Amino acid sequence: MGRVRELNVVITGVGGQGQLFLSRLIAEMFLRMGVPSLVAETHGLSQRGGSVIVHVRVGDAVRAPLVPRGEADVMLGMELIEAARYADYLREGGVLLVNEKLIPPPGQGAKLREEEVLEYLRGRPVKLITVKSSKRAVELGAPLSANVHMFGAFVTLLEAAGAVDAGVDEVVKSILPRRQLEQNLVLYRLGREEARSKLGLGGAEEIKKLLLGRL
Amino acid sequence: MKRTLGLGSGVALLLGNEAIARGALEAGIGVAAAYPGTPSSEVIGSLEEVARDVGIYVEWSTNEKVAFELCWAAALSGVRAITAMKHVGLNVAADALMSSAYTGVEEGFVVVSADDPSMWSSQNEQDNRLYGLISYVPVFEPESPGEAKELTKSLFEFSSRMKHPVILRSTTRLSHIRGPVELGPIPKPKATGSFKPGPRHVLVPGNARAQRLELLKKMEVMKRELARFPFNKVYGDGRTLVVAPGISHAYVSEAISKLGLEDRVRVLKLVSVHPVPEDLLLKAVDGVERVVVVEELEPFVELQVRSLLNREGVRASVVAREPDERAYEMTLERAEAILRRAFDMPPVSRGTDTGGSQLAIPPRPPVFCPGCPYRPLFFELRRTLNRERIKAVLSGDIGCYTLAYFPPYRLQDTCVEMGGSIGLANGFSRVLGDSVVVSTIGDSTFYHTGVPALINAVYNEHPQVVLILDNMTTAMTGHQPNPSTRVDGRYVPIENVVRGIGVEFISVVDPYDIARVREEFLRALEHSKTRRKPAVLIFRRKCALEALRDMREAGEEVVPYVVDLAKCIGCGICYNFFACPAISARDDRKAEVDPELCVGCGACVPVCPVGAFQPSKPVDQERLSKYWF
Repeated sequence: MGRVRELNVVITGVGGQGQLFLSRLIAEMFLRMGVPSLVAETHGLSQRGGSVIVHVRVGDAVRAPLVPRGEADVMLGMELIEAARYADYLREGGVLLVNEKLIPPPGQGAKLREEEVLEYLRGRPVKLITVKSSKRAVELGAPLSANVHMFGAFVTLLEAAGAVDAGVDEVVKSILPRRQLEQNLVLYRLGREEARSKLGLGGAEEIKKLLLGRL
Repeated sequence: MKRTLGLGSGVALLLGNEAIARGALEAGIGVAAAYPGTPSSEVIGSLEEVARDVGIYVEWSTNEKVAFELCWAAALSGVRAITAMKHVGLNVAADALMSSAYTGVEEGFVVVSADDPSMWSSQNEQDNRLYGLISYVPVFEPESPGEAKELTKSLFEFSSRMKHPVILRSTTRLSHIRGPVELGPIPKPKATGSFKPGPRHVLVPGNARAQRLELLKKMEVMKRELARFPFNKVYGDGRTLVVAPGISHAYVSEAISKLGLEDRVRVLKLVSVHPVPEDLLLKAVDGVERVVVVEELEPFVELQVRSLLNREGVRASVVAREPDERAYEMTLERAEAILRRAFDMPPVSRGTDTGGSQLAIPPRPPVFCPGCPYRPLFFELRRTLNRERIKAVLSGDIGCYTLAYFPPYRLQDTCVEMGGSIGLANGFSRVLGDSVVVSTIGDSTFYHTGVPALINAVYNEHPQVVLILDNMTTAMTGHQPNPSTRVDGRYVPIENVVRGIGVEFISVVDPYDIARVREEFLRALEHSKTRRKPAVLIFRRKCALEALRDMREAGEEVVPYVVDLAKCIGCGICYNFFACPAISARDDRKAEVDPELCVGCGACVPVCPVGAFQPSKPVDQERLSKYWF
């Protein structure tokens, strides 16, 4: 496995969508591969259906827990409006992996449309990749596990960038919770595949270029 | 914590708070107690998980003072103890803290103060390192989970050796970051001890005067001890000395390498921040032209540095921070900006600017969870106050219900400190002649500090309607038990306490039953108005997160509700005023339910004037009600 020098990831979404669990999976996976990381979690009040951002900093050069604005290499967006809210955390040429799911803030009047938000995100100087994590999770009867699908998609990104190798799936298998392991593995694989097909061959090369220098 | 308990070596990913707990276990603690408060809760929470396996006593106490006293007594009796509280929690325990420095302890006593720079979950940003100065209790700040574990362990040694309590000061970003921690062996704990009476435990004036002098002497001894404290480090060389306490060192060290300043600075990484190690500091400042202290919140270390340099006649200048840099937490950006300024480097602007399309992003304040019993309560309360044109002052408190401050409910006119609702209401009811005074307080907060204020309301006859929101847990901080939590059938019923105090009007109401919410509220109001005395309503239903967890564990299916579009008239009451996150407006203004968010509680059913909400398949709510009470 290659080393990671400094990879800055932010996970955004609405409290309750499982951002903390997702961040732990990432940190645990890297730890198993001998790469240290720091995760800055959000607890307490901010968790109750509010806007959430979790910082994950991976690599040997990392000391401080928070990703500076404009220096995230990757955003994992569990929800569209929250991805837009924190979009400026991404550096130019960063990768935005976002779940095609919009949760309107309750009682806030006029509703944003999915298409409007996507249009805005397309206008950002980042590589946008959308995945259907929530849709797949609901289809499998596990609406709370959309984060595992997103994790799979992220691992595909890491694979394209050369940050993890083929052994990664075995590592993941060992860190997913025993409870509902089969279901989680299915979602993980679906996420892996969806990102793979979204990227194609050219996309994988592009990701490699975008994230090179951070690894 | 359970997962890593059996491990005596290796590296695990731990939360800063878990690392502190682990350090306490490795130091052989016998007792731990706390009142929960973000960002401190996981210290005792993770010890609670393993208490039985390790053979230690752990409890959630009714408030920070009570928890502190329990641990203090253990330490006085030769049993190592740890308590943890959020920064404002130490205000509640401050009386005990002050005296504990006078009595000292027999074995290690570590008080964890988890401060909250940026106020992610708090009402103020107080810097609890200052408590060290007023109490003569040394203060220590680690920079990472790994260091927090080692530090906790060695603080127990230090505290035992000095026979003195210590404060381990954490912050949100230390308590709530997860990072690698090297594990060590856990010894068999010593959980029982013996108490040897002596005059230092009885702080009558004569004894206290003697202890005061002892305390001053002890501080000098501790100062000398800490001069060699191995967690403080000096490295690098240059004409500038950067002093960085606690987690600020993590930011500073990264900023130094980002800016390529490695060859131009000497760094003093500081862990013992009170008292500062004077000899080490004087050595570090030797040959240096200026000193930059990079720290969060108050200039606590900076002032100690200034006074030392002044006293010793050292000519190096101390660079002052901008006043607004006292506010909010340290970031890499801020550490960089401070260093750039010190080295006359141009500031940088950050963030990717789009130049592309703009988007009006709606705010998303935290909200009541789907299924939360507080939503129907506040929905109906707001509606009743509007309909009856009641002019009310809502004296609020700290808990999930504080969220009723936000629209559409707008039912918290104050939120100041734990248990403050009934106390402020006592005053409001005396001076606001034409307004109705209503206080809202949760079960946990009621037992924390609400009770004395209610006794005062009864005895001094302050007319107010007290709404006790009893979800039978301390929900906001992660469901720690409080005296209203049913543990093997054991609990302290709130109505018993209220009755015992002498409140004449008491009614227990299910907040899902909004018709009764309205009826009972108006009755209580009438009582407090005509009798000029407090009336108490207890709204009882379990926290939805707990009820749903139990349902999941029991294998119950969650059946989401749907909107019968033929019935829905698009009035918007459900999505505009009830405001459940699972309900939103369609383009034609009719309502729709998001099956990913709906928890099948059915609280929306009585809210709809035309009965358009129905379960997506038949469900027996009567049978499920056992999970809610």
